[in-house]
Parts: sequence; C-alpha cells; structure tokens
Amino acid sequence: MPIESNTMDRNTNSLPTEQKEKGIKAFIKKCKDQQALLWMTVPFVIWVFIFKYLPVWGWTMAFQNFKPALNFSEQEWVGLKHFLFLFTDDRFLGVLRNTLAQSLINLVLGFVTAIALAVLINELTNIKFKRVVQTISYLPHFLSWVVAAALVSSVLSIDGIINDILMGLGFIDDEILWLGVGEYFWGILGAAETWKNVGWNAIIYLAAISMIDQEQYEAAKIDGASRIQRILHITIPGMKSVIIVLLIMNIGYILEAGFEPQYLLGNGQNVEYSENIDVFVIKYGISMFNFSLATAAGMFKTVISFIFLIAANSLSKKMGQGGLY
Amino acid sequence: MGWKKNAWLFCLLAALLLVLAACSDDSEETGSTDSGDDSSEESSNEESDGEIYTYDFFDASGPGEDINTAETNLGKMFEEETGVNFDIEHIVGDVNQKIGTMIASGEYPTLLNAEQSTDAVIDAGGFVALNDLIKEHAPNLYNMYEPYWELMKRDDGNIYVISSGAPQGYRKPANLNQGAWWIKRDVLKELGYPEPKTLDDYFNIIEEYTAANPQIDGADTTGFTALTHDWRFFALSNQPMHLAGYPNDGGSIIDMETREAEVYGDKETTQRWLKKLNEVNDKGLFDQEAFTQNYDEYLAKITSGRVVGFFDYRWQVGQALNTLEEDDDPYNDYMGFPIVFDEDTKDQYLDPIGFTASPGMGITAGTPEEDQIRIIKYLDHIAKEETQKLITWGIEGETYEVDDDGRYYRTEEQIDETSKTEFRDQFGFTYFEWGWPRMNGEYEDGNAVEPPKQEEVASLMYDDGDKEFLESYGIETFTGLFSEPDARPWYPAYDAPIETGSEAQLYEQQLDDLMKRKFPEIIFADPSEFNSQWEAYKGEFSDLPSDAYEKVITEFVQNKAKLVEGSAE
Repeated sequence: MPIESNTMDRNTNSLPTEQKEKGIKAFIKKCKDQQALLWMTVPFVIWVFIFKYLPVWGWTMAFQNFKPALNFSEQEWVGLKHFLFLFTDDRFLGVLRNTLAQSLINLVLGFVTAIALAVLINELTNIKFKRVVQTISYLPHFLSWVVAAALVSSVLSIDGIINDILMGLGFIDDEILWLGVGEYFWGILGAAETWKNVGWNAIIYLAAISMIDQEQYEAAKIDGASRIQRILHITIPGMKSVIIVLLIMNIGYILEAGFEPQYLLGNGQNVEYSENIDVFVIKYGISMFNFSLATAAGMFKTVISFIFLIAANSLSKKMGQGGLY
Repeated sequence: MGWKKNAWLFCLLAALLLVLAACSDDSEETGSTDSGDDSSEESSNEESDGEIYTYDFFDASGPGEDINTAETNLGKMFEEETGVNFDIEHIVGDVNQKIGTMIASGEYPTLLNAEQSTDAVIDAGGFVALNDLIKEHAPNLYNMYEPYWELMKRDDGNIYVISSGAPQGYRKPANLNQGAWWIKRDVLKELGYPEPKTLDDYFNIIEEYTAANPQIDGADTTGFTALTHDWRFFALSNQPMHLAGYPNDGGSIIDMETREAEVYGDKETTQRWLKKLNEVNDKGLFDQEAFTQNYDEYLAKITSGRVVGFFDYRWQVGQALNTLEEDDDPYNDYMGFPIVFDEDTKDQYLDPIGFTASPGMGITAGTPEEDQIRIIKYLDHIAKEETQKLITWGIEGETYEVDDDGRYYRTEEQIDETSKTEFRDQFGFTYFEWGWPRMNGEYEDGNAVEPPKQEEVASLMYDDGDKEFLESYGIETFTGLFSEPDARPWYPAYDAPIETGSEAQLYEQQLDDLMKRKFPEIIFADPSEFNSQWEAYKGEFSDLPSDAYEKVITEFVQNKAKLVEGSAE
C-alpha cells in the first residue's frame, strides 16, 4: 500500500519547485501550485483507503473463533490459537519452504527471461517479425490458469509430447510421469510460469529501453562498440532503475508464490513440493470455513512482506542505487 | 495556463461523477430486478390475477445449465399454479469455496442447496427454520415428510432443509446407481462370461485379459484405473468398507450389533486392499496416472475404452458410461459386479432404505415472510402426488401410458424420447426430477416412483447387447447379481452433521491429506517395502483425532436408529 502513494509523491516532488521557502506556508503554496495533480491523486487515495486500509480491520478475525452469523461483540476471542496451529503444524515448515523456493525460482527466472527477451526483441530490426514475436510471447498471459494447467498436464502426461520428444531423442528409456515425481515440481512450475508470463513481463522493460536516448547508441557506434558491447553498456544500464524498482517490489511479494498453478497441478504424489501457504490456507482455512486461520496466515504473509520490502529498499539505497522511497 | 488546469479538473470531476453514477445505477438495478422488472415483464402474458414472483435458487449439487424454471414445460405449469418461478444457478468449481464466500458475505440466494456445506450454512445461521412454515402452509409437504419429521430436526429442534427422496416402500433398482466393480464387456465375452466374486477373482480376470491384449485399439491397455482427484478421493479409499461387506457409510464401518462406528483407514481391511493394489501395480496392471489425472481425464480414459476395470459409483462415472451405452457398440459398455474380500461375505452395494436428511434445499435467512410463504407453497405444490407423477413420469399419453390394470408403462418411442437430453431439458425432467421435495419407492397405486424401476419400463430399456449379458449371467436386471440390502435404520452414517471447527472436522481433512500423500507411496512401493510403508502410514494415522470422529458418528447413528425404530412402532 505504501508503494502506490509514495510513487505518486515522488512524481509530484520531481516537478521543478522552489526549495528556498520552508514551513507551512511553503507547503500550502506548493499544494496550490500543484492542485491539479493533487486532485488527480484523489480517486486513487480513496481507492487505496477503501480497498487496502479498511480491510485491515478484518485482521481482528485472526484472534477470534470467527463465526459469520455473529456480531463483532458476540465473537469468541481466542488469542493466538490460530497462529499456534499454523506454526506448530508438522507441515508448516515444508509449506514455507515450498513457498519460498517456488517464489525465488519465479523471481529469478521471471527477471532473467523477461529482461533477455526484451533486449532480444529490441535488437530485432524487422518490425513485422518483432510484432509477431511479441504478440505470440505474451498471448499465454491471457489464458486463465485453469486452461493453462490443463495444457501443462497434458503435455507432461505419459503419452504427452515431452515424453515423446525425450524418448525420440534417446534421452530417456521409459516415459516419466512428470507430475508424479515431487522433486520435478518446482522446475515444472518455474517453466510454466515463464512460458505464461515472459512476454507480458518483457513489456515494461521494452518501455524502459525505448526511453534510452538514441544518440548514445550512435555515439557508441561511432566509437566502434560492437552490438554486444552496446547491449552491455547502454541498454542494460539504461534499464537499471526500472529493474531495481521492480525487484524491490517483487521481493516484497516473496510469500506470494501464486495459488492457481500449485493448486491445479498439485496432487498426492507431489504434494510435498507443491503445497504452499496459499494452498494450505485453502485446505485448512476456507474449505473448512475456518476464516480465522485464513486471516492469521494472511497477516503472517503481510508482516513478512513488509520486512522484506523494507530490507530490500534500504539495501538498495545503501548500495547507492536509490530506492522506492 | 489557467484554463488548462481547470480543464483537467473538470475532466477529472466528470470521470468521478460517471463512476459514481455507474455504481449507484448498478445497485439500484440489482435491487429491483428480482421483484420488479422480471415479474412485470412476465405478468403481462399471465392471465391469472397474481403477479409472478421470481426467486434465486442456487444449486450446489452439481453443474448444469443455468435457467429460469418457467422456461421448461414443468416449470411453466408450476408457475401458472403458484405464481412463482426460480432462476436456477448451478455450482461451478468447488462447493466449499463458493458456499464459504456466501457465508462470509452473508449474501445468500433465496433458495439454497448447499450440498456438503449445508452444516456450515446452518452453523452460520444462514437458513430459516421451516417447522411452522411447513405445518401451516404446506399440508402435502408435511404429509410426505411426516414419517421423517424427527429425523429432519437438528439439535436445536428446527428443520432447516428439505432433502429429496422420502422413502415410501422399497423397490430394488433395475440398474446400478451405486458402487460396483466394473469390467469391460469385451473382456467378459472374450473370457467366456466369468463371474468374479472376490477381489482375487476380479484381478485375475484383468490380469488374464491384459496379458492376452497388451493393446486396445492401438493404445496401451490400462488394467485398473482409479479416481483420486480432489474431493473424489473416496472413490479409492472407500473400497475396504465395501469389500468387507458394508454399504457406503463414509469414513467408518458401523457394527450391526453394537451400532458403534469404527474408522477403517488403519485397519486390516485397508491394509489388505492396499496390499492387493501394490501387487497389482507390481504386475504392471495399475494405472500409473491414477494419482495425477483429474476427473475429466479419468472420464475420458474410461470413455476411450482402453481401461479393463475400475471401481466407482455409477452416478460418478455416469457421463462416461452413458456415452459408451449410447453408441452402437454394446461391447465397449461396462458391467458392474459386487466384489468382496472373501466368498462367504454378503455384499452390500445397493443402498439400504434410508432417509437422508441432508443435503437439501432451504430458504435462507433474510427472506421476507411473505416470500417464504410463497416458496413453501410452491414446494407444497410439488409435493402433491399428481405433481410427483408429473416430475417423474411426465404427462399421460405423452411420456407414459396406463394399461387397464392401472399399471404405468412407456412405449419404446417414449423411452427413446424421454432419454434424450434436449427433451429432458425442455420438459424439465433435468431440473425437477431430483433435488426438490420428492418421494422414493412406490406410489399408493403400486406404480414405481421412478420409471426405470418399473418392470414394464426396465425390460423394454434393454437392447440386444444388454440381453446377451443378462442371459449369460442368468439374471433379469443388472442388479440381479447384487444382494438385497440389510436394514440399517441409521443409513447413511455420512449424513452425520460435523460441526465446523470441531476436532472431527479436522480429522476428516487431515486424514484426506494423509491418504492422498501416503497411498501413492504405498501402492507404488516395491512389494518388499510394502510392510514398512504401511507401518509408516499407520504411525501417522495414529496421531489423528479419530476418536473424536468415531464419537460423532456413533452418537448420530444411535440417535437416528432410535428415532427411526421408534417411529416405526
């Protein structure tokens, strides 16, 4: 939540203003000068307040045995019971491990592939081909995971195309039941996420690349820089600020490893690697009408996210790269 | 520059206003459609005095087409009688999640069938008590359910839901609708119509056939497959109970003498079942995809015809088996057998007579009283005997005939017509045949409630392919091989309400997780490791609060049996 409001502040701050005057007077004057911009933020501030701050009241549910039919005053307060259940469950450590591993794999793969794709697309000179590649690569993003998971599971089935190809090339002797082996799950998930989102994620980097001054490329060319050198010394440094902002934000979402693919591709044989916090919450929270447990897990996730976000931001600032705020 | 700023402001305000206007418009609309727009629209072509009232009915019992009841012939007739119709919405996806959202928001449809989440809605105060409503305004409904009145009451003495199927006398079904061990007819024919009785017989047939036919239609033969997806896992974990000679009482076996519930997940029966599967897997007969395939893939696999055998409940594989039955090839159909562990065990696959109090439909909290009365009168209309005949048999002369003795029958054309999906949808059988107040068994005049249970209809429904197998096994109907059900006044024990947030509920979820995780390991293990795998599973099982679950079920069983036997005296 602080992200939205702060980025907006930054935008307003970045306008040229006189810094000499100080105090309330200066503040009011600044507000007056920028009143149009301030008005523009109003709907978003309202939105953030309604959808991000008001629901925080619901956190009280985590400390109750919440029953939907009862009033707030009639609820039974149970203290940290739900947190204890969550943290003392034998499977919780495994679930946390899965969440972090899946999330980390997604984070690294997501960044590397999207940046690589953006750079490669940028290097293409044939406009038509460029558009076709871009469209095809971001199309899977618009499939719902239900459809995508069905595709993934049929591709990976015993008589699926992956087994056919690997057998045909002689890499394996027997078909492998990919979704039946827990150890493969993280890899499958990472690959599926990449396939689905790489094109979409690349869009923002393409936008960042297009902001780079073309004169830099021309100057480099005249100086005799090769294509690779131009990519390494102009394109990538030019994208740096966008990369860092996204990285910090994504680190904040480290416990949001996603829910649908794990839920849809998970089964009894790979459950030890597929079950993450969200799946666990669905099983023991929502499905059992235990909304309190679901809330407790949500609170836990928010707290962790907060810590990661602040840590990443201050680290980035310390390294002299500038932060979100 | 001044005007530019103002223009910005103006645009912004305009946008805001638009958004606000759109919002308020929306809410007004949703508020009024139910009683206003819909009813005025339809009352114009309605000659009777009353207005037409439309209510929402959410049906979580299964997927289906969403429709207004008045768009079907039956629904139109009921609307003319009662001035009420329903917008039916069916479940898509997971029942618990959908109902959970309703509970959390407190926004319910007027009429609700919450399927396995019924207890949660009741716990959350989502249903209104129906006792007085039925007694005052619904004499026919009261009449039909009177024998079961006490059973329908919850702990607090209130009745919240009306379930479908109030038994009035017993009719052995002609066709299976419950659990059975299915084998492809091709296999039976090739092996000279063997009749498997025990689990060993059954898998010997599969082994023999698979050895001789490693491929079917160019695809690898699958010896035995199983349905394990999501909440349907019981299609693999219920077998020990059936093999030991018990009907489907859910997660526990009820002792006939003591009427005590005992979970069987860690007992010798389950060990025996898993050991057999482990052996079968070692021989390459067990489907390697059994634990990764989803429900659709499972149905598709059975429809493809390359599966030799499987266990399931007929209603759960209906989609696949109906497809196979409707095509021209009688040999790709499957035939069900009542398999048990030992030859001297009496099979109990057919449902005993039993009244299931839940799930059922209930009127939700927040419904104004006059609407409650209109709805209960609608249900009362359906509970009349002539309406019951309408929703099961249809219209005399159109969908059934009556002979001189008053016996109902259907001609072959009528059987064809009434089994077509389009006809059933249009006429309304699809929507009214089940789920609404309904009796089971037979009418006072001796005709079966459901046409397929009437001998005159059943015998005409079999084609030549069916007859070949009936004759080979020397039976009249496909349930001929199955034993009659013993009296179990508590049946079904899985009807026991399990309180939200209780230990028993936690047990069910934890057991489900444990079985889903360990069963594949046990079954796919090398036979030499079977014992250690089983012991590991049993160790984890012993940590689960199974006592709490047994206690809830035992209490329910004894209480219900007392009520049923008390009312019979």
